[in-house]
Amino acid sequence: MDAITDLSSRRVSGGADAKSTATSSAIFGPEQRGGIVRRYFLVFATLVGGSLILSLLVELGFRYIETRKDLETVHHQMAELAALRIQNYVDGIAQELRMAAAPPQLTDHRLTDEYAFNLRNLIKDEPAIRDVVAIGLDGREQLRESRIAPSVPNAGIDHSSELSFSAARAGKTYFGPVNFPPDSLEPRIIISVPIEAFPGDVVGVLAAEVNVRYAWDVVKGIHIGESGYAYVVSSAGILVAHPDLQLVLQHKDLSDLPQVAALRVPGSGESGTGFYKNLSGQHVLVAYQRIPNIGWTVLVERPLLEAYAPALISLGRTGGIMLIACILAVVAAVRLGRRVVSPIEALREGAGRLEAGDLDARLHLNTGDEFEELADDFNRMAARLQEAHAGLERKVAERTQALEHSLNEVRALGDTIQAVSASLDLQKVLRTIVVHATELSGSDAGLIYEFEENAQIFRFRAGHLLRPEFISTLEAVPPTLRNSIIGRAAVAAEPQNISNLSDAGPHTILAFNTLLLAEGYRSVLAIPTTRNADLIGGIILVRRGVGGYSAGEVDLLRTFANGCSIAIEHARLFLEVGQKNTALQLASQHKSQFLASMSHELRTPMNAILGFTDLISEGVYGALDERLRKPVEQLQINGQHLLRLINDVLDLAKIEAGRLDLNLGEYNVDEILEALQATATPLAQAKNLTLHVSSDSKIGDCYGDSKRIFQVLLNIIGNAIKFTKHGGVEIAVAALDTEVHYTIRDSGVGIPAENLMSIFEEFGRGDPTIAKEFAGTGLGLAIAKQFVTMHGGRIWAESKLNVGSTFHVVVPQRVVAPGVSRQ
Amino acid sequence: MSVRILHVEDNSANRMIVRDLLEFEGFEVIEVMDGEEALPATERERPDLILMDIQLPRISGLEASRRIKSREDLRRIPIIAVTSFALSGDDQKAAAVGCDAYIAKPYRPRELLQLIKKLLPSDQR
Repeated sequence: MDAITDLSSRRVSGGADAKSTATSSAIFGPEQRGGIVRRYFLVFATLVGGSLILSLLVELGFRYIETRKDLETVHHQMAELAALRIQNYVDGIAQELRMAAAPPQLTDHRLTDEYAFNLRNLIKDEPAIRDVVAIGLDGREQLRESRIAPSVPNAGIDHSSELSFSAARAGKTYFGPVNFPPDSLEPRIIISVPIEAFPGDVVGVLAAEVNVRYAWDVVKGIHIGESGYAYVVSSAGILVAHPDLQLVLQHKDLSDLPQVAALRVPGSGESGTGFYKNLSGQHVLVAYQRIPNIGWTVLVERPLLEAYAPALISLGRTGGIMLIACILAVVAAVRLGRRVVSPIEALREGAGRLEAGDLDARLHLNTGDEFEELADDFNRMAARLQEAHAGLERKVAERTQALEHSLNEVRALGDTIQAVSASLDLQKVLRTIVVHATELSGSDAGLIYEFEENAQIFRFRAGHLLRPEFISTLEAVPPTLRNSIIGRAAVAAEPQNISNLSDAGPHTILAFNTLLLAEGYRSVLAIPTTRNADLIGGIILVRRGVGGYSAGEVDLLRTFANGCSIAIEHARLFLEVGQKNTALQLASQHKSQFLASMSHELRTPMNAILGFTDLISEGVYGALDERLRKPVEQLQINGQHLLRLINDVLDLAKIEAGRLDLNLGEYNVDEILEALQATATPLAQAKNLTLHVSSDSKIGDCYGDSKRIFQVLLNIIGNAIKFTKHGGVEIAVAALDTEVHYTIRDSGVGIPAENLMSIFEEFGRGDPTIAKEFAGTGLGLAIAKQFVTMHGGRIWAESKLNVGSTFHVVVPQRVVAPGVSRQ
Repeated sequence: MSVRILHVEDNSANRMIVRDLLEFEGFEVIEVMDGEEALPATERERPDLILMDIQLPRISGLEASRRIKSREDLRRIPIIAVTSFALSGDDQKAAAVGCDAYIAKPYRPRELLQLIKKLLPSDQR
């Protein structure tokens, strides 16, 4: 089980390797150099640098949170302390006021001199109090003690509407807002307390103007770090105390400062911290603490940079260490990468050289590890490749040579075949064959012989590279089947291959061979050429050197011999065909001439026969005996028929001989129709048939051979009358574009459909039985068709048996170029 | 004096037909059998009309006609060319040597008679 798993996993990993090899060739392009180094670097940097940076960030985060908490705590404690001190101070003064306001001397609801003395002591004891005023319930000043002015109560002033009075009169201690009197630069507040005769019995109000410069003293004493400071603002946002006294004296309104504005937002707590910008725009950490009674707030601010400076320095140190660690990791990664990559690079470079065709490429790696083994494998592979390549090149060279040779053979054969098929000139073909056969086989000369069956000798037909004198000798002494090597080859029906004529052997007795030997030839190859077992001749090839011909050469030359026999047979056939063709042409010509002269020779006796018959019937030789009238009439009728036949044959012969031309001229259709009517009416009347001719006035002047058109139409009408027993014949004509369309309709016996085409052929009459009944030459329609065709027209027929036939003749109204009767 | 017609024709049957026809019609017929005899016969007989066959042994009818028509004193005698070789052009050839008319064999005797009468001076018809 384990083995199987192992195997499969190895296979998988092998596949992955193959894949990575395949892709690496694509990745390791020239611009991708050092890819592995980069990859190693990335891995190391990610592992080492990443963890370092992560710990740094975590450290930073924790350090920041801790530092901030510490800082906030410290700052807040500072603010709280300051607030407490200020509150204690103000509360202390308020306490002193209360003590002074409710002395045991206060009796009878009147403020005595002793009370005034008390107040004077108060001022004396408490330097922060500037003035103190005792106010009666009516709001009028009753006593006034001042540190700087005469202590005379200003009875004219009514304090009853003041908040300090009303609050204190209600039994509370009142802390007034900060104000800056015009004669002093120090902030003051009014603190008022009730004057009670005994607890709960308010008899007046004691109000003191208190210098709160003490708050400055407190604030001034607060130092946080190097540049941290504290300050106090009133509930209205006016600066009450600040280390920079100047700012306080300016009654700076800080209500726009974000950290001060935040205090006035309802719901903001008694104390808190935050990050803001101070008056000079620095980022600061702010902690505040309210002083509840007097509505002031102590704020402690410290520049962030300074506040976090220790943390930053510590972080910097840590970061530095980590950076060094990172650099070390990178260097290690690069070095390791290089160590792995450089052998791979070498391998890749070697493979590249192999690919580029440098099969001498070898690798020299001395790493002593798997890379060195790989390089050795590579070198072995390159060596094998080099061997295979060399073998391949040799093979390619061989094959190229063979191919070239074959190509030459094919080209030569192609030329030969072309010559055989394209040329009827036998001499030229044989010459082509002997030239190619000689040159392709590297022979010194070649000869072609044709066998003459009658004389039983070989006749020299073509040669190549032969001396003219030698040719004369060869022509003078034609070889026979017995005395020549070609004769031997023919008898044996096998090529005869002699490697050396000078060697003694059966061939030495051959007279022909001695001729060849005398001419200096040693090797001879003779191939007989046969066609369908008939000996046609042979090819002889000779070389001056000894050694004969190889089997391949014999095979090749056999092909030439074959071509040779085909050529000779072709030539013979062509000769035969040519002779036959000439004979045929001559025969055709003879036929036409024969027909023409025959018809001429027939006409002369016909003239005599018809002439005498006419003279007899006209009574030139005396009154005709009644008994002779019928025979003489028959003589006339049959004589006329014979004459028509002769005329028709003559016409056809003339058409065939191309000696009948159309006699073209202007004519009128109506004239033809009138002539037809005049000629055909007696014929129709003789058979009791109607003849109806209708014309078309739209047909204008025509151009053609009117005599021949008349002949054609009369022929058809004559037939129509001939083949009709009842009814009649209708002749109509109509204009058809540029053509004239004649229609001849009869109510005759009709023509079977299968004969409709053949009636226009010579002697192609519809039905032999009918032909017997109706006399006719059988040439009329054939001649009609010829004339119509010569006019460039058409003729056809439609018919229904025992109903009638309709013949159509269409001729151009104006003949352009008269056609030839027959092609 | 009857009208005299010279008939040049080698075929005896045809000569006989023409003679029988013309004599029946009241003409006098003189006959010679080839072209060579035609000119001497014309000179000797001075016929009113010559019926000349074209196909003749020795000298053709055309040649004989040409010779007669080239003679000033004989030129006026009308010649009718007779041919049985009805290939196109015979009529033109006859006209070219000066023949006055042309008739193709086989002809109806009546046709020939009409043609002859047409060519004779009106007082001789």
